[in-house]
Amino acid sequence: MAPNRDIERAFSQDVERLLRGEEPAGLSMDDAGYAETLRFARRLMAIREEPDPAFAARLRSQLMVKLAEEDTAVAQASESWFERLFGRPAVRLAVVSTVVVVVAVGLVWRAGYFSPMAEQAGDEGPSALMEGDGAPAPMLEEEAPEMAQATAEDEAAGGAPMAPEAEESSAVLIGARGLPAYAAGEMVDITLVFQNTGQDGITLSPFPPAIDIRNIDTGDVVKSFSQGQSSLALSSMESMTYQFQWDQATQTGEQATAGRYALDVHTVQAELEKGESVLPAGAWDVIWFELLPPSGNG
Amino acid sequence: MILPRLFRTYLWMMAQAKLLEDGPASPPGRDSDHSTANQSRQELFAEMYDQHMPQVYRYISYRVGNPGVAEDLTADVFEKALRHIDRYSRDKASPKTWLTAIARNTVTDYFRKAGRIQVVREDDAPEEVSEEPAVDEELGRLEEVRQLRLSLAGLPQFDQDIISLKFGAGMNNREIARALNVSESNVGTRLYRAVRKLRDSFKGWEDGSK
Repeated sequence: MAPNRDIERAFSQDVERLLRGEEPAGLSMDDAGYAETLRFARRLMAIREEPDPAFAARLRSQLMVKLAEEDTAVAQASESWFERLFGRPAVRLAVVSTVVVVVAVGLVWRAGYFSPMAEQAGDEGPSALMEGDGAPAPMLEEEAPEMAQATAEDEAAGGAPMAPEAEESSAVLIGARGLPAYAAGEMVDITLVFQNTGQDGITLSPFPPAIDIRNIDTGDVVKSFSQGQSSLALSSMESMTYQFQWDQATQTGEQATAGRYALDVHTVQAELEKGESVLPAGAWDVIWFELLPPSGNG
Repeated sequence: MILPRLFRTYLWMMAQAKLLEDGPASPPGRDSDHSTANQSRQELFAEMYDQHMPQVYRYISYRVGNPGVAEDLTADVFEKALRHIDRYSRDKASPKTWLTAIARNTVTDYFRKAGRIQVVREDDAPEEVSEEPAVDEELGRLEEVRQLRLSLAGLPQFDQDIISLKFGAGMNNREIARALNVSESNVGTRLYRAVRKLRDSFKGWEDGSK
């Protein structure tokens, strides 16, 4: 068996040499069968076929495209909604900036800069919160609910809401949230906020109050909404929202012209829980907004 | 006073954010870990293909004896490799061993699936004999090649594999031993015997054709 092993080993080594392009060393072996087998091995090497370069390049390209597509699909599938939403630097910046602005507004608000009570402390008489010589800017959602005060006294001449008297323990704050501008024909969507800022419970009646849409430039009320039949009870510091929508149709059913408008909330009775006193509540210029001209006009 | 200013700042920041979103920033995902992983996956596969595709093709071509089929099966091998590349580990097998295993299974499936008999197709044989000596010589060589493949197809599959891996793929005995899961010395023994068997089979045809 040993000689056979030697021949087999020598054959393997010679084939390796042939594959490397070298001459075999085992040819000197005194074995005709071995030499013939080695010659036959050369013929076996000769029938080997190389791949067509065009095929090799085409297949490579197809496979790499497929792999890239798979990777993309996997990446999309594995990306969570959180990463998708906040993974981009731009979105992160937007979120951070929004938070910063909201916090800044909140701090300013908390400091009482915009508090009607603070203004009234140094300036007795009707609140100028909704009034003023200059035109107030349209309200933004971040600007927190605007408000008007209801007091024992009625509104001053000109319809400005009155600030509460210092002795009053309860007051109703009326604020609003909405967009600064609406396209022509777009539904004007405003959220009214009624908050009881006092220590005692209060009931507003009738509810919802009558509401007017007034053109600021002309002073004309273009649309009036009549008051409701129910009432709204608010405990101390409680607030409720009332969704108000206007389709921009005037009282005559026509499309309201482009321009600046204000929303006025008519006075309703605000009755203290214990029935001790009755306060009127209402607000003018609760919110300002603009109706844009039709897009065809510019 | 302060609110409009804050609002303008807010709008400016949002505009910057939008610019960042739309602008020609760094290519999407290039900086992420996920992309890096994908890149290395693609690099690994490209490297595997470039280094071992010729060897895989030669092995398959040696077994099936038809370039068209060899190309189809080679494409199958690399598509399978692509599908399972995530499960491939260099610690368990070299790329060459791994691809060879896939190629062997693919060829086995090819012959098994349609109940094909492993023979060299008739259309690979020379169809007519020319009077011109050069053409005649070429046709004779083609017939010899066809007969060699026929003889190879007549060997046991293990022997076919050893010969195809050795003379087709050009693998050394150690690599063949890993691919066929036998000892290296066993490969040497089986190789010599398989080549002799094939030589005897082919010699019978040569003697008969003369």
